[in-house]
Amino acid sequence: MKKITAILLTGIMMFSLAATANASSKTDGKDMEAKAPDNDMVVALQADATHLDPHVSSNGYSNTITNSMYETLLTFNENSEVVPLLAKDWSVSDDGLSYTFNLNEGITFHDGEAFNAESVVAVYERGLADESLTLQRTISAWESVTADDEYVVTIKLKEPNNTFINKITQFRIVSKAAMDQGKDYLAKNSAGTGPFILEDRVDGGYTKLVRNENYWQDGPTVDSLTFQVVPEDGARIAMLQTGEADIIMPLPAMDVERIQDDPTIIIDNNPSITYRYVTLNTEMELPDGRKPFADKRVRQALNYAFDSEAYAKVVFSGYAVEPTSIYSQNIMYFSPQTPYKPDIEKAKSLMAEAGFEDGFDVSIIVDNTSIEMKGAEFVKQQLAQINVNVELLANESTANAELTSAPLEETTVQMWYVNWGSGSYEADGSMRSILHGEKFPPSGYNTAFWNNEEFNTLLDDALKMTDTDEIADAYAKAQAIAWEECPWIFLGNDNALNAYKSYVTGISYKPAGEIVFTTIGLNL
Amino acid sequence: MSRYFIKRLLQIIPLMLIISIFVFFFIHMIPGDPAKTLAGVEASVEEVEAIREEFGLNKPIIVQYFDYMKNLLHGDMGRSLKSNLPVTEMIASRMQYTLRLVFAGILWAPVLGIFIGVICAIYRGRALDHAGMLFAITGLSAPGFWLGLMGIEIFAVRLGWLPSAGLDTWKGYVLPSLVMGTGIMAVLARYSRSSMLETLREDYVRTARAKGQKEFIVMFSHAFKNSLIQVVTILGLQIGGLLSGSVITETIFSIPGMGRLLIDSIFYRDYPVIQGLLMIFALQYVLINLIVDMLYGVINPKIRYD
Repeated sequence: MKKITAILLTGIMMFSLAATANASSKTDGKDMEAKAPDNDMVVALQADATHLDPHVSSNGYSNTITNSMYETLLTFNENSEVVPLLAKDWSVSDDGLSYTFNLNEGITFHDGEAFNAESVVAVYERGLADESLTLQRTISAWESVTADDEYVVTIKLKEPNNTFINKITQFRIVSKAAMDQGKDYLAKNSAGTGPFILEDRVDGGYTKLVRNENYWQDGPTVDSLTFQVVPEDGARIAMLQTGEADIIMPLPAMDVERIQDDPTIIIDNNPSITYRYVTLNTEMELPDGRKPFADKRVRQALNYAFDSEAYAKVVFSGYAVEPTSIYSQNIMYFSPQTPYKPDIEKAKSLMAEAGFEDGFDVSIIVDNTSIEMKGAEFVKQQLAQINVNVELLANESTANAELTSAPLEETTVQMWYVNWGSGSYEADGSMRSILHGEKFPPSGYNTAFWNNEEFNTLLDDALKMTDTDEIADAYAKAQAIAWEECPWIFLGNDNALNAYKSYVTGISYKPAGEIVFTTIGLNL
Repeated sequence: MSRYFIKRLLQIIPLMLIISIFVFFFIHMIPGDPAKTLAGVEASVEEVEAIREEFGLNKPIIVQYFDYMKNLLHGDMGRSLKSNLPVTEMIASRMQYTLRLVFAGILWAPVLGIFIGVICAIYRGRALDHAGMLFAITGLSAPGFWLGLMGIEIFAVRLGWLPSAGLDTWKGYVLPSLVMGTGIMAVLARYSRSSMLETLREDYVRTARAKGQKEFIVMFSHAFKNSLIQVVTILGLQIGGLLSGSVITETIFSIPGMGRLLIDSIFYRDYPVIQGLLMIFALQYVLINLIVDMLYGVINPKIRYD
């Protein structure tokens, strides 16, 4: 067994040179002496958690809230490095199959139960027993979890899997006694080891947490942390201006100007993991029987016709970055590619070569929210330059999810304006479900119906590799292939914008600017 | 009258049954899969299937309907697919916020609306009439979200007098009440004016005047009271609408009422919650209509219930 420390693992995270995910927040000219009116923190969120059981919740806001109550063995820091949390350290066997974790001692759950190796086993067993839990995704590649000692636990994999280390950062540890009482209990009580304990919740209204006085490491100084649901953008901003809210998530790009000069407000601006693209159904047939997107030249022409810099400006008020690969720079093993700079002449000549100089009619599926519609409208305008006439088909996202999960024989999707981001910052999770040849709907979201053998093999092989250089190499090749093949129009990577009062202290981050509340405080 | 009342109450049962059938089948016809939405995009096919199984969504729709009705008759509206909470508990929690908002809105709006309408009718064609109607039309045309956001900007952000969200203190009620009430006030001003004008043309008003009654008594005892029938009908419909939750007011002021619950539930295709809400809304309308019909008799004892 070779011992791997957190520092060594830093090396494993083969990120691009460009990708330093340090959260950027400008504090020049801000009033850093401002005082908070009380020691209760209020965070205004756009939407509510779906469920507070950390093994049930599926949306991002659920994670934002539950992450303050539940912890994992390992976690990501803001530099996209995997660091220990409930585990003190960990080691991996030479065959890459067994991961052994030494756990921190003397930690208790909110319900008073002790945290130990059995707690980890219990979470695994809960996942095995109930297939409907999101926990499934984390443990599906695991063979077994055994408690070697009171504070030593070993997780054995069915076969080597490079995403293990990412996925373990989503494996939230819950007290066994609480899990035995079921989802209903966990919807109303917290039973984690985290810095905050659930006190009160009104579904759709707010979730109030109070400081865990027995927290095992340096924790928050605020007395309470309330996540309030404020769906209206204008109201969220007003709450920050009046001080009713201390942090707002997210801050819409078009509203930055309104508050950027306020000396008591600090704006966080970081490239997020949200990557935007338009899928091109390579099997789509025109009425005359031709398949325009089956031809790589047409797909490339669309990318040459698209100006991603203008897209960032028009749709995201400049708070987005040009795409330089097929996923966000904050994701592991990102490998930058040469951007498709807008070149209408080149686009037209590629279209002519492919026999489509007169263009064609095509429809695009888009969610009917204003920001998505604005983006799709922009795509439509750009493609009109090369005679591709795009018709917008706007639906509510739930209805779109049904359209886009239809199998190839039944699909009506020609183009789909969509975005993707892997919550565990993994390369495989950023590509497999949306580009792998085995992931045509309904088993995945590859609505380009793009099936490239070489790409598939690279992904499959990389997953089982243990040598990080080899993994990086395989993923770099895969990115290069998809970039050149253009199954999508590559649109951009929006920034995560959050804003907070200058008297908020102790903010830390996960990659891509995701706020962590562990040491949060208020300057009183 | 009490026989009529009981008859009307009994009629509610078959009506609700028919409504339940429409509600159930229509919402299942909306495209979109709750299991898939709940599981999220990164879910596997097996995970989605397990959720479907857990909530019985894989059963034939007829079976699902009868399961639902069976539980409903036992007073159980099922559990939310999203939060797993009992639907009755969720609706009860949301209803208190909606009721508070409705109360805040109808506290002043009908009184002011009717007052403006009556004054306009009395001073028909004169400056006061024009001013009153201008006020009413402005209120009617001002979109709720605009009014709400302007209110927040002025009274919360600039002046700092009122909070911009929540109903925690009495101050929190001021702006939502303004947004909720303005529309009702305007509608009632318009209706009570025309209704009052109509009654003023009635023979009994002329007779009262001819008898030499004081103008004040003619106006309020003869004309106003009789003009109220139409106004009560409109007010009933308005309150019925408010009780189903005002999505705009609840959204702008971050209030977890029934309107937002409905919108959220539709997004997640949370069938039990949508069903529960629509049934409650229907019941509220039916009951309010019944109350309005009963009020007719109080306002005008000449109305007979057969």
